[in-house]
Amino acid sequence: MKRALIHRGYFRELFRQLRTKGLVGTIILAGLNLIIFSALIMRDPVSASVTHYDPRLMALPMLLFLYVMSPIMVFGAFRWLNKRVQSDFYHALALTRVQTYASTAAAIFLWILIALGSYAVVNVLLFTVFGLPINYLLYLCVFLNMLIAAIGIVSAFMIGSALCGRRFPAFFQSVTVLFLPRILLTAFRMFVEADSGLTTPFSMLPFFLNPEFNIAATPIHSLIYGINFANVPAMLYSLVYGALLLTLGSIAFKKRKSELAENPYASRVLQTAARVVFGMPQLLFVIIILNLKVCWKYNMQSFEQTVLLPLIVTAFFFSFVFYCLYELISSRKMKPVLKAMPFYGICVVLALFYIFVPNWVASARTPVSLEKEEIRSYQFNDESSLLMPKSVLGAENYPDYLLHRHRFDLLKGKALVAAQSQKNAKVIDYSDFYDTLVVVRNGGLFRKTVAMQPSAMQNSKDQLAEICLEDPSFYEALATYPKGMIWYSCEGLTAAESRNVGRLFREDFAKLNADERISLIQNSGDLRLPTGPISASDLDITLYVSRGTSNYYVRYRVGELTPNAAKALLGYLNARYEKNVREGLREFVNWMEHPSNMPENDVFYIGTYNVQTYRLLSYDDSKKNLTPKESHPEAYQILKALCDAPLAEDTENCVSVRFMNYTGNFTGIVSANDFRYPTAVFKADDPLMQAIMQMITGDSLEDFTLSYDGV
Amino acid sequence: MITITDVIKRFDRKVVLDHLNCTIPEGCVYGLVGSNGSGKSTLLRLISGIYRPEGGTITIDGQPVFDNPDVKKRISFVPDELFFLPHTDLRRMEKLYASVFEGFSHERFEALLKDFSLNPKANINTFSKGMRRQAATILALSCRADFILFDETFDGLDPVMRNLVKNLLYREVIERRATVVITSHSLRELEDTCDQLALLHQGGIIFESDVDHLKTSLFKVQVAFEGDYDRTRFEGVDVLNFTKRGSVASMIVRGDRAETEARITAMHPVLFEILPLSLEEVFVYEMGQRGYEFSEVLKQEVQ
Repeated sequence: MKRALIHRGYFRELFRQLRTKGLVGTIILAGLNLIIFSALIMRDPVSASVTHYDPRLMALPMLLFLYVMSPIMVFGAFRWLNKRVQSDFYHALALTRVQTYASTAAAIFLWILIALGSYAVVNVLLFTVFGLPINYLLYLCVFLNMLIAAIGIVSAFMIGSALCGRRFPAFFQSVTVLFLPRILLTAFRMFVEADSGLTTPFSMLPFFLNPEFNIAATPIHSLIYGINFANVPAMLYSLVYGALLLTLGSIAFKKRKSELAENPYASRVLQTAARVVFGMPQLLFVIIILNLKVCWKYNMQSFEQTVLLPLIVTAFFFSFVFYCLYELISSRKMKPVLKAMPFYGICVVLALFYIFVPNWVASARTPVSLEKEEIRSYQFNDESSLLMPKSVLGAENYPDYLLHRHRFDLLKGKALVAAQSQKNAKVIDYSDFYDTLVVVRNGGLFRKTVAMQPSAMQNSKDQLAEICLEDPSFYEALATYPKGMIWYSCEGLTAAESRNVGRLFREDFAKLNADERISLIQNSGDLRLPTGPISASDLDITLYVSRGTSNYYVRYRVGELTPNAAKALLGYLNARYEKNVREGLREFVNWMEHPSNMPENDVFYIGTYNVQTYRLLSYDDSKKNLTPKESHPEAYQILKALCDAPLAEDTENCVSVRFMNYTGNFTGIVSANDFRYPTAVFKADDPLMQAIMQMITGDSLEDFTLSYDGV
Repeated sequence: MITITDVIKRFDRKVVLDHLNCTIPEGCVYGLVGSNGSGKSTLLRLISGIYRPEGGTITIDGQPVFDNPDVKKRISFVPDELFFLPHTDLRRMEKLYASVFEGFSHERFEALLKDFSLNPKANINTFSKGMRRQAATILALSCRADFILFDETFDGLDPVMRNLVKNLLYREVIERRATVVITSHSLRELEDTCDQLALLHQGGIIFESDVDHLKTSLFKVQVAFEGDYDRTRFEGVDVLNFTKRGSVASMIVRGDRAETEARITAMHPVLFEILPLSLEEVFVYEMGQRGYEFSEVLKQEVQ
């Protein structure tokens, strides 16, 4: 007789049993939504900076929710598995084991769907209602990612529940199922890639071997490498992997004996694995140290003589204690602990594996020697900010965005890559471990992708970056106005004002030639862009672009080349900040005249943002017999003149001045928020402007200059 | 019909049921008696499909029970330790049972509620032990199952409720030809309830019989003759136990009562009386015949 996989009545009952947990979870997630959203809105009410509203940032609460709620839901729905009486009751019901399992899973997934769905809907509504930028396609991807992750996470906990009759071991075995394969692979990858040379990195390996895949376990990977929410193969893989875990869970549940309730485990193998997981982290430091010492012959003489041996002994001791502790907590008896002791050898073997094997693998790799004729194209790898997950921080720089997607086939570049590959340099260099890789695509009928690590490329990467603009299609792409959904942001302006400046900027931009357009682009990461003519009047506008499922930003200079936008921008700035800047200048002048009256004001900034020469002005102790006015009469005259100087109405002969003083002792590095200085644009006749520029960029304030020279 | 063939059940390394064989016919009240730990509850859990046997088979009308909802829906099981959903009332339990057991009768449920005078909207977990057992009985009987399994049936019930439950079980058997399997460690409790009785000991059924047959086939005879005599005088009578005080002999005899009466009457006794045995006495002698010490088999009972 054919039976429905999900038993409607039982599903309804389970859904009801999970009601409190589901509702509380939904409310907490919604509350988190509102808190984060409110914080984001309140954080920057004037600026329209959209990096703060990256919808991917909203994925974090969803992922956190899944990691917290999945075990709560699964252990809640399956609590009867841990009590003999309850287990008997449920197993006596006229359902197949698979029906019980599937109905439970369905009830859990429905609650998770409700919670995540409500969160997403409220989130999208908030963004839409408040007129904040949101890429709906990307948001959909994030949402799908989270649903797929839910399958994997919930399934792992369902497997753990099916395999154990107590909650503690069930939790740990679930965590083992969920993360252990990923931890082992990621750790192995890290150890192998710590070696340098010409290699095929793990990131190019397919499916399970690729740590980017399996979204459910993604934090292990993303903490180091970042998350790509638009990775369709990863989504498909994770979906299949999640379904596989779900199926494995149903098999474990079907085979589970009712009498397992109140017993710690059904599977000795998983119990051992969980113990090992519990005992391994204490050895991690030892593994790293011994890997460096034994395999890489790293010089650590003094360290070796003093603390290495005690450290190793201590680490193994604590690892063994934790290993035994797991067994004791899960079984609540001493006898199983004694039985488990010999299996601690697995921890030792695993430690030895991680000390030696990655190095052997790295050493055994055959170096690839390339001829320039066989190189079809080369590409800059998209791992430029490995330490900072791009998806969380939001946007990628526009030139980098184009750079990482472009396949270069310049002969000069191919020759450079080929020459470097033939050198086959193997240099141990930690400093550029997180630098950009260069991917080479070569081969004939069967394509081959080779990745060259930074140390293998040495200085060639810079040379490659420098010749990028010789590629006509790349140059054209760089000179093209970005495509996609664009939000404008000018520092210090409201969203509406920024939009207006952006509209004018776009019109001005359209009238420029390619060279001029490229010269307006600021701040490239990997790409060495030619520096355009810099004017003291330059301000800037940032375009945040969402295209498909990608986000990127580009900062353009606003100045003489874009007169209409510049005029509008300086108009807005002057209207808003004139008073602040003049007050700051007067205070500065006052301090220069009477420093003893304002001893706490000993650090000042003055500068023009876009010439990147902020100057930290600070009173030099060695000149305490003179006032700043007496020691720096030129600076005093210029600042005094600026106090009453007329504001500019257009970009002809003007200077943008940003000004800020710190009260008290300034010792730390300025945080990002501190850079929102009041800015005003002064009309300056030529001599005054030159004098100001000289003051800011020149050497005349040597006595005033401390550590900070340029931002 | 429930057929249990060569069933083995282990918990870890402890064998609880060891090659157990048993057949429970339809339309009867089948009693399982045994001391604590003899395997009664395990056997019921095996029959109800909760446990999977490590060896052997358990079938109901030829179909295996484990993980087979088609068979399990024909079984109602009331365990010794009761469980109800947390913070639940009888109405919610009714819904769950109705959704899982196809034969669940809401009319029967309402009628039983009246019989037991339980409030269907009260939280079951606030009920007393006896009321919880009543609630479980209501749910089990409302399922209209063909096989009703009760573990320690009357535990916690007062005498009035015991009678009510017994009557309800009889009705199930008479009206629907349901099979009721009940366990107890108290033989007296099952004496007037069961049609068939089986005694479980050390993982196996060491004795199984029809109760009426047991009671009629084993009886006590008190007899006296003129002159001296001994056990040999009763050749042709199946004497299980023989004691003599003075000229009066007491015997436990197995066999047809009328035939035995005729045979002894023909010996012209000066005193002759046939007395019925209690079920416990019957068990004592039957066990003795099989080489078991009854007090060992049913420790609790004796204590």
